[in-house]
Amino acid sequence: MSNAIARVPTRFAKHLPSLLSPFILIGVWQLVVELHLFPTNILVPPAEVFQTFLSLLDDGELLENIGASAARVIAGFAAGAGAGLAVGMAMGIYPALERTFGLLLTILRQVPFIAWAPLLIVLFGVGESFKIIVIANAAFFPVALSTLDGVRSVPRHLKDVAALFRFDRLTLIRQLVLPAALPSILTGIRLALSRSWMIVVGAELFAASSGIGHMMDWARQMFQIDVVMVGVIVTGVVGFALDQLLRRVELHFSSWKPVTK
Amino acid sequence: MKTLGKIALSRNAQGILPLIVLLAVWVVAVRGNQPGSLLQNGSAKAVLDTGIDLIRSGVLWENYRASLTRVIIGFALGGSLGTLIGLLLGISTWADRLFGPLLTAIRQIPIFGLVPLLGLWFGMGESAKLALVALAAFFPMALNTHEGVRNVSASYREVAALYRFGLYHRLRYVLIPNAVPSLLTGLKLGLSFAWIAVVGAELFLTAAPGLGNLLEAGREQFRVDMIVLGIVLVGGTGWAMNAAVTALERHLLRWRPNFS
Amino acid sequence: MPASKIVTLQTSHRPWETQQPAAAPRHRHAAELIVRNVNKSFDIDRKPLPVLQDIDLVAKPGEFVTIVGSSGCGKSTLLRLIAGLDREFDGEILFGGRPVAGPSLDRGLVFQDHRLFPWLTIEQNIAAAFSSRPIDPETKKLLVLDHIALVGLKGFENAYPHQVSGGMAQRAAIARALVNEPDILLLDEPLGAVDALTRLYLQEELQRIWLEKGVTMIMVTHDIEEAVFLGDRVIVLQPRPGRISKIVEVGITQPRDREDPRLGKLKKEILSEFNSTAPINYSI
Repeated sequence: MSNAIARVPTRFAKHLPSLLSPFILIGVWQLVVELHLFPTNILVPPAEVFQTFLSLLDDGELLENIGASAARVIAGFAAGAGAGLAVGMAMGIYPALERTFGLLLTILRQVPFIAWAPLLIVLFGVGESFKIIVIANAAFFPVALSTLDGVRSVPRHLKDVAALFRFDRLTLIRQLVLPAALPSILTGIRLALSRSWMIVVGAELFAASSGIGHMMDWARQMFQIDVVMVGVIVTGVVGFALDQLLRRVELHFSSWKPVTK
Repeated sequence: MKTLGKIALSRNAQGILPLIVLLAVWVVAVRGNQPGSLLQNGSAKAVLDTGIDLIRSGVLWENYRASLTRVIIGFALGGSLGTLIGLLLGISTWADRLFGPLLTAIRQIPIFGLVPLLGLWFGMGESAKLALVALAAFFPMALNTHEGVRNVSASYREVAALYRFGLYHRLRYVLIPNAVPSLLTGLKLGLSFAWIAVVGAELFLTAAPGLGNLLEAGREQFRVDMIVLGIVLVGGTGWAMNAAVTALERHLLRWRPNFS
Repeated sequence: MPASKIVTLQTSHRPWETQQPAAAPRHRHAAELIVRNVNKSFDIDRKPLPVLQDIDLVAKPGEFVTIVGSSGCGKSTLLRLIAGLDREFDGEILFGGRPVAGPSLDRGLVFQDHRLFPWLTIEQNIAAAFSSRPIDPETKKLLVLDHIALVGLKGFENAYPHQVSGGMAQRAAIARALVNEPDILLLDEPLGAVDALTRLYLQEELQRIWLEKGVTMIMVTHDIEEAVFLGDRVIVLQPRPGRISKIVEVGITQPRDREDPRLGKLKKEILSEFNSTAPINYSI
């Protein structure tokens, strides 16, 4: 038996534990349920959650909610990230702007996105606009910051080369600043998208008639733990997928960068 | 020398400029005629008055203290557990392979997405709030501790082998100092996330004294002044926590070369 | 053999050395290093790559042996085997009559990158070398300050590694390696990461320290001039796989004059050992 294991290629053996861990979690979960350690309104068996997942998928409710949340994220993220990109770039290229508005932005950044919600609700009501603005607000700062950082960290010596070739401002931006700052910008975008996904759920908890957060809150009020668990798992998976996807994009565009430890 | 001082002042003054402008606009332009209207409540005068009132009546401190308590307790719980787990995963390779991906997966779940779940498990009261805060603090601490312990350069480990360091000295001279920068980053993030979780918990779960409560009450009564006070306190405390850890960082990491 | 200045606080019975037999204490510097028939290969992509082949060398107590060779000839690997950091090899390595089975405070090693802990001051770094043996704080401080003075770093005790130059950091690393009064000091291209001017200065410092301490030294370098300047014996290593192609006896008394014509002749002799098609590094 041990010989057979020894013959398994070591690369596979290295990844084996990682592949096992979700199964271990499910296994422990099942065990805990069987041992009746928790009452059934707190923990339901994995099989039941899977069933619920399938039925929600079937009647379209799950996809509908994901869609609603996603739509908000896209709208808010586009607005916030777009603004962040513009502001970050402007502040990076024109240092005077950074000196003037940098402090203001830093102060605004200190307030966590969630604390803006009540003010925004008072000003905009509990409709769609409020949620989208909250998301935009959260997406804005990481993108603005990392864009500024990226633009600022264009190496001095490259700027000198550009000056030698007498680049005008537009060419400078297009040929030098944008490509050089791109890895940083992509990191900011990845963080912003991640946060946007996180926030949409929170924003929906405030007041919403659709979306994943709403689905989970409604289920909670109806004591439907299985639906809640489906929601939790789905949000986790979607968030993970988004993050991984953006990491690949980031890696692809940063391939020219020397690998630092 | 004087001119240098003037230049320095003018550079900083640039940053303050928009703040002064906004402040001026706020004080002068935001005022309403009807009592109870948004503009009335949102005026600078109203905020100031309410602020003084709440301080005098002790209500402000009561709410603030409650939030502070939650963040301290929640962070202590989640942060210490996170550090331990991070340490374990950093030291033991098989534990890392087994449980690492799991933790990464759970980390993907938005913290506020767990509110319904925690609400079902702990009820909507205090324990759920603390659980949320602890969870928020857990992941950054675990992640950063793990990274700090894991990325010990082989060079230093060889030095430790050469001088036959025992476990204690390996920890003291190699593993822990190497991990401190990451730990401090984790501390910053953990505190930041925990503070956000406190506000969120107070907003989403049952009402109880707290800054979130102040915000919520302000929202319900359309009292912009209360909301503004809440925002200022939340933001200010967040900044103070960050500044404190940064100061700690500067002291503990004074051995680092300073690259501007 | 120059008289060695032994720090009298040291006893000849070292409790930290686990290989120590219960027999009579050894006299210091009586330990001879014997490397016999050593072969080593690395596994790269499941194919063995021979790195060292039939290495035979002896270092007598108090000698300064230099090993010179181009990159890839396994000289660092050899040193690591002697230091005990790497234990996979064929053949024998004996020190003081007993086989080497892991690192020991008897055998010091200086790396090319100084590897001082960046979070400790110079003094703390050197003191850390005592971690695995019981020693009272006063003796420890005395020894540490003694060796800081020995390498010429007085005044920099409380500096962090990033605050001193590369040459100074390397000197601190040498102090750290010497503070346990090892019987043999191994140096792996210690001056490789240092600029040319500092290197000349440090060579002379090394010579001075060796004359003062009398400890056996084995130094690996790619610099032929350095090798003949410092070494009593120069071992020439050819690459791929690393094997000894020549051993040159220098036979000029220390301290030496760089301009000594005999050194130039020896350098030419060693230079001719190297295949003209293989690139070699040598300084002017």
